[in-house]
Amino acid sequence: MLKATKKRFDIKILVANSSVSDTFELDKNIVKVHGILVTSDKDDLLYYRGTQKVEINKEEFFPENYESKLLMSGINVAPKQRYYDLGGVAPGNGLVKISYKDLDDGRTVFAPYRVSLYLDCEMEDEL
Amino acid sequence: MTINLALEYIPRRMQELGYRADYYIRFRHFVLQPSEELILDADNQFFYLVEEAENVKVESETGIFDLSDTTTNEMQYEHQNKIHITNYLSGINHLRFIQVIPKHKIKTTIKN
Amino acid sequence: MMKEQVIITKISIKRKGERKHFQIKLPKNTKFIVGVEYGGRLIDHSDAVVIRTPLPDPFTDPIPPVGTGTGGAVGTGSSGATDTPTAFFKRNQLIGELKLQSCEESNWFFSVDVFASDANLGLGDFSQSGFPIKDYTHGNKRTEEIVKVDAESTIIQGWYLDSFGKSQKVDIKYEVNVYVWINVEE
Repeated sequence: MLKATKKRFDIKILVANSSVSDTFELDKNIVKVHGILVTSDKDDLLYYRGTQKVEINKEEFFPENYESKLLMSGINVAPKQRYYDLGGVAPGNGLVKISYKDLDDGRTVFAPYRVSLYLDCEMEDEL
Repeated sequence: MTINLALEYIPRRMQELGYRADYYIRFRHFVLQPSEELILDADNQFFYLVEEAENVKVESETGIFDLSDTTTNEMQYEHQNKIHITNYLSGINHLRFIQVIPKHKIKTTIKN
Repeated sequence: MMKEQVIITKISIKRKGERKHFQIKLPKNTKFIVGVEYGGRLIDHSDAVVIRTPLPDPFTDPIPPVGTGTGGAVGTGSSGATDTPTAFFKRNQLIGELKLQSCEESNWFFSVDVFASDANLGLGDFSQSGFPIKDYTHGNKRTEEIVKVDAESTIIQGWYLDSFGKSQKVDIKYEVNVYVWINVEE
């Protein structure tokens, strides 16, 4: 039986104008990735300063310099509609790679922040 | 956690999670250099802290193990996903885990 | 549909005689491991300045034969000719040993001595053509070693043991890259 689940992966941005990459593995029983969303503990920094490349199973879904603001949803968006629809991607090898870049923006002052990548997934209930 | 407790605990825990007997276990003994920080990639794996673990911090998404930490009400012995290990000593330190690796489901017929 | 991919693992060596254990995770959709090869990169041997003779770069220079009498870390012996006749077979510099094991079988499925370069590429070349023989000019094509390992193993265990730093008696920083070729199901 299939059920919906959300997965979250965090990366930390500690230095201004730095690039941070990390690869995460989805649970073995995840069969589809439906949507993607980014959030932060300092939303304004993510909104103004952030860009990221996202790959799932070595397939690029968002290229380098794709602005984080395009993957963020504010409180005016209904919770079920906040995720960017990927159309049901097969996880393949289950590896999700995010390459995030922080760039100076005159409207913000840098402080270390966390970027969270959320994935809306479907998983098999039993292993 | 003692090794005996871990060896009793692990099969039951794997049954709870639905892995049955489809996993490998390995005993890992890390030798940490002075003030070394180590990140273990334990996605889809479990690391169980066994034996003594002093002057060291083990932190992951499931919790933290650090005997000098006063901000937590509970210490975590079972760790998953990215595990951050910090050696507080300015000398060599030792850390022991039992690593549980659930198998991939794909079975092949290639065997020599 | 089956596709071939490669997993690259970097092993970083910093101390003489260092032994590094590592694990290579196989992706979920791996069918089997089909090949293994290795490469390397010298990072830094600046600690070696205390040695009377400069260390050869193992990744480009063939090691001079034993007996050249330089008095340094490489060979000690009596003085001898600095030009070695091309008919003499030179000893290759051993960098380290690499072994890989799967979880499904006991013993190692891959075990190799890691050499930086082939010191005998010019063996038997009497042409004296003035064209120096290097790995990158005269080297053979490198291919992976064929293996067949069931990917149900989920992870591959391995260790690498340094010989280069140990033989030179100095800490040398270098990297060894292990390339594991896999068949994946798309």
